[in-house]
Amino acid sequence: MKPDMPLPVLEASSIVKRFGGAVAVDDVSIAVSAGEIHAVVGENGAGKSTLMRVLAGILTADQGTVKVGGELLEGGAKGSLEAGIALVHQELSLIPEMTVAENIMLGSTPTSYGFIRTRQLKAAAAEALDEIGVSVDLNESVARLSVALRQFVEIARAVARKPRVLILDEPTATLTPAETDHLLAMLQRLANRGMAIIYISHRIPEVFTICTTITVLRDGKVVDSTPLVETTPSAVIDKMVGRELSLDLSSRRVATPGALVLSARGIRAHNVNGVDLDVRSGEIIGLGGLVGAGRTELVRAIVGADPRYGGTVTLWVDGHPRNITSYQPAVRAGIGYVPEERRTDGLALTMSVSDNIALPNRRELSSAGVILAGKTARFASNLADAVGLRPPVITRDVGEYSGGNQQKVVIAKWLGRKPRFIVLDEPTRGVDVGAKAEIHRIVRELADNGAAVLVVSSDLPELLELSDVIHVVRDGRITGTLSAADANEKSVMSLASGENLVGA
Amino acid sequence: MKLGTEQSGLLGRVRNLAARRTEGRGLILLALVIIVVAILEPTAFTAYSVTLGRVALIGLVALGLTAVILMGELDLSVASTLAVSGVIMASIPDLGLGIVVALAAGILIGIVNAVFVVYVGINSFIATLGMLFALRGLAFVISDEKPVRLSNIDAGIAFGAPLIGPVTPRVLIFIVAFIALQVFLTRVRAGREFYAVGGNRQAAFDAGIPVRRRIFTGFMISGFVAALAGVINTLERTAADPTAGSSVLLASFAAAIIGGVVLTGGRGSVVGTLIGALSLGILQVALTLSGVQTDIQDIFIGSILLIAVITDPTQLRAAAASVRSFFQRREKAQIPT
Amino acid sequence: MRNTRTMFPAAGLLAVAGLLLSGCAGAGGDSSDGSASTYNVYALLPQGTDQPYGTTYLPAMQAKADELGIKLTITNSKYDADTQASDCEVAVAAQPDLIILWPAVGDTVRPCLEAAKAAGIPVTATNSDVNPEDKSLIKGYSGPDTYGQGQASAEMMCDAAAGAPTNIIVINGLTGNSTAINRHDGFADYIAKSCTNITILAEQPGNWNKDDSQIAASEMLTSVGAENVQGIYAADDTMVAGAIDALKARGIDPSSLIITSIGNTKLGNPLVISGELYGTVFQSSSWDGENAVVLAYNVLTGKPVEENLFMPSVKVTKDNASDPSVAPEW
Repeated sequence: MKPDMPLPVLEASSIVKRFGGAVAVDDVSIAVSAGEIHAVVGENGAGKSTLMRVLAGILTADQGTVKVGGELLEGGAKGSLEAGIALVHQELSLIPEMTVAENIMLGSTPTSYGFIRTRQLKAAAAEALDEIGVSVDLNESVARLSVALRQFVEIARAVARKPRVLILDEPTATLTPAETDHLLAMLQRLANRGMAIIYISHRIPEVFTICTTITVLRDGKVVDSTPLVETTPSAVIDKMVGRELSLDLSSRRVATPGALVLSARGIRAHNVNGVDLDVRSGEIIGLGGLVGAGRTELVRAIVGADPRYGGTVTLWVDGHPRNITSYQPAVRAGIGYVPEERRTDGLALTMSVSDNIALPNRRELSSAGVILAGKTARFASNLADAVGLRPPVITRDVGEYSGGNQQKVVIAKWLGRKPRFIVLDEPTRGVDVGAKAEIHRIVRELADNGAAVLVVSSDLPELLELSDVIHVVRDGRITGTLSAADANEKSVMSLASGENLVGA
Repeated sequence: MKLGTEQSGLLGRVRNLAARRTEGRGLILLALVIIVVAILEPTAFTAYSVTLGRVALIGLVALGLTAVILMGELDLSVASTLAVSGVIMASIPDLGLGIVVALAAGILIGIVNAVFVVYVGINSFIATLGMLFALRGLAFVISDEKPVRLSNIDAGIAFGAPLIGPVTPRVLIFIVAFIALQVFLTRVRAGREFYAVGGNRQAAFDAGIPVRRRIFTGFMISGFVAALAGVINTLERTAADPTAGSSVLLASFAAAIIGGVVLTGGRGSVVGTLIGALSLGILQVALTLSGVQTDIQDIFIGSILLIAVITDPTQLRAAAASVRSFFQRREKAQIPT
Repeated sequence: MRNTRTMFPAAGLLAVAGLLLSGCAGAGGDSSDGSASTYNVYALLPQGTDQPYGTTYLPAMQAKADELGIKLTITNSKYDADTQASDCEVAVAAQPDLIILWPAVGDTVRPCLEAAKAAGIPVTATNSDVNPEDKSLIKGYSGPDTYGQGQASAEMMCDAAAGAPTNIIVINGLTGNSTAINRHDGFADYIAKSCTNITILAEQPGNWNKDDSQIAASEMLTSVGAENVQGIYAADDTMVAGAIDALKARGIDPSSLIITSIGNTKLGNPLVISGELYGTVFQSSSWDGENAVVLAYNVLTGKPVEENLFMPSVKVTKDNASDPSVAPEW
């Protein structure tokens, strides 16, 4: 440490946090000084969010200490708040039915004799909003705000506490580039006034715009911590993944689209405003866009899992058109759907792998209503092998497997039905690198064997690597279509964010 | 640069208010009930003191229940709390002391419920279901399985008489309880935070709100209000019946639900519950006056309840669209292919 | 499936208006049709077609009302005192010519009676009488003579004993219940005064239900010695069935004992015919319903009425058990 560096406001030493047997944070030390914007980067599952929850007192570390201004941090979330640490969560933590003002002041509502001092509440909330340069009706209920505005209200809540340390966990995931710029400028301002900021992001360019120091986490460990001027984006990315990363376009298949399998016309549903979509046999269509753009709603409406307000979906079964109106008949007709929320929608966690795989295939695996155990076991273990489940113990509960393996089970479930058309929504979210590659292999094999595949992914490299054609969705509409040859991160992102449409 | 837009203009404000409130469909139902009753059975309004009494009977327990439901919890023990507090009160010869002990018992029951939910970690449906049975049994044991007469019957009869105009003490207490809870849930910090506890418990906890204390408060309110209803009933009837409250539990849940209170918590208001109680009360009195049998009345109330729930605004939008697309499909089917 | 589900709300909205209109209009139409009815009467009952007794009580009541030109409005509080109190408020507000009250919980009806009195509406009681101190607030009572029923049951037992020394056990109704007290007193008073050859060895409550009664009978048979017991009295047919089961469980033939009870229900009547039950007292639900209206009519037309209009306590033994006049009603 240089002698002229100010004393750190926040100092965490040798933090260790385990969940069961897994070490999420492994001997991490980090120090942040006043006026510093400290970036923490790493791949999904590197331990960033866990570390931040420890700093904010929401989780208790198994080992190590956190000091704020030299004082040892105690008393859980409340203690951390009082010590001046404010965390803006990755997932929104607002109360939908409360007003903007109430949400900003949640937990620190000004009162006299228990009664809320409304004028003071609104004044303080307005001040916080002013500080971050956002204007929004204080009396509006949060449920009616756009996702981006909610994100800013969340930040206003943290700022209203006048924290010494402000932690932001992926604050720009749902923001347009214009909004992101606004946020970054605002953070710069706060830092100039002496606030210590920890900024978590996987958008490396943003980090290089505003941050002063960068800490890279991989597998729960610090692999690098250095002033930003001493490193480069590509060096940071290398450290994040632990290998040279280049878009692996070599593995891209040469698509040979066959007959039309699915055709959707004028689909309207909640958050979906009129979408036409065709998918052919042997083709992988990617749906890109920002979180909240309506992609998940679109695919759910197509497969009939959620009600449609309008539009038709036709599935071609051996040359005959079949109208798809609801989910159960859709599945019987040969549609497969791997949902975004696999833990809640895709799996029965307390049932075995074999039971889960057998679930949509009961008809084939039973005789006169009785499930044939031997046939089921053979069926399940073949599929478990096909998707590379590790360890391939089909009698184990699905809940005992890691996220990647759980996802393989969901996919195996549908493989058994040999779907004509399959939708995969965020197939590799929260999945480790190895499992990710295997899932990609399975998806390609599906298409090679003649299935029509629709993939929703927020992971741009994945989308570019897998898709033959990319449709970009924004505000419930397809705003652009890119062929594999034309697509790159930039072209997809600009369509997704509508950058060219914002005048600012 | 500024982000976001400030809503302005009177029309915009009104539209916003309408979209934000949860009482809308309750209000529509109430309007329908009032119009139909006014045409067909106007006695229900000319005899408004009776209708008010019925609304207060249904509504009081529902008000306390609302506090618990807003936090995403349930309290099934309210009916038994009503019975047991009445029996306790009537068993104590001194009227004043009896009332105090009965109300304290209500608060204590709330605390026991909350201990099961918060510290033992039992789902509130199950915990309060257990209390429902246990307290009902306790009421029978204390009363020796028969009605307990009040020692001072004249005081009871005086209590049932109107104070000013049609306002009996019951109606007055109901109004006071309504105002107190409305103020508590909108103006008092602890009450306002009930919405946070019910809307997003983790977020409330992360924001430093004492979630456990709020849950305790909610169950204590619900227990106290149920005991208050027990005291009022016992006074008005001049005796405490250990089987009392059989109709209270479902009616108060119905009032809350019709008024737009969401069982999973975070959405709703005591204004909504008041609207629900008004709808149910007016309807019941009108149907009774019309000579409609109780069983048939129950069918009505059940239907109204179901309609209130299925006419959720988002459901309605989907319904309108599906009706439209149904006709469109019909039109298309006319064209031969 | 999703699409069908979204159809419901639209249909539901239409249904609500229809429901309300039909419900209020159906009954509302009757009230405007006042030419045929001379009197408006509210009947506040604690049961209706939800109970066997009420199922036969109601049609008889309605038929008599139609005959006498009385328009009845009937409520059913399902034995909830609060509901009945609220029904009473509605009734008082509707200003009928008379209120017929069957108390759901006897101890809780005083405020209702006071309110009716204040509004100048006469009240009669049916089936279950009000408490003695409230008697001044009603015009009359019609229904079973519970004291007389106990006495009739005692008379049958006395006849069967024919002067021989007879030891019996007694199973009473729910402790504290007025019907239970009156039946017990009617039975015990008669035995003590007119039939001293009968001795009550033991008595216990059977709480109006069969299981409790069977246990009570069993305990008493054990404590006094089954061989010493020549007769059993139970305060209703349901409990006597439990006592008979207790005897059978010990291998004792019930017809070898003198057993009497009260009710002549669909449970008790076959026991009399089979000889297991010596005799029971007929409580006619149709008489009860019919005479509730008769009493009301007499009050309304200013005819002199007795304080109590008692149901005749008809004795039912093997001799007349199959007569159509005592065919069980509930």
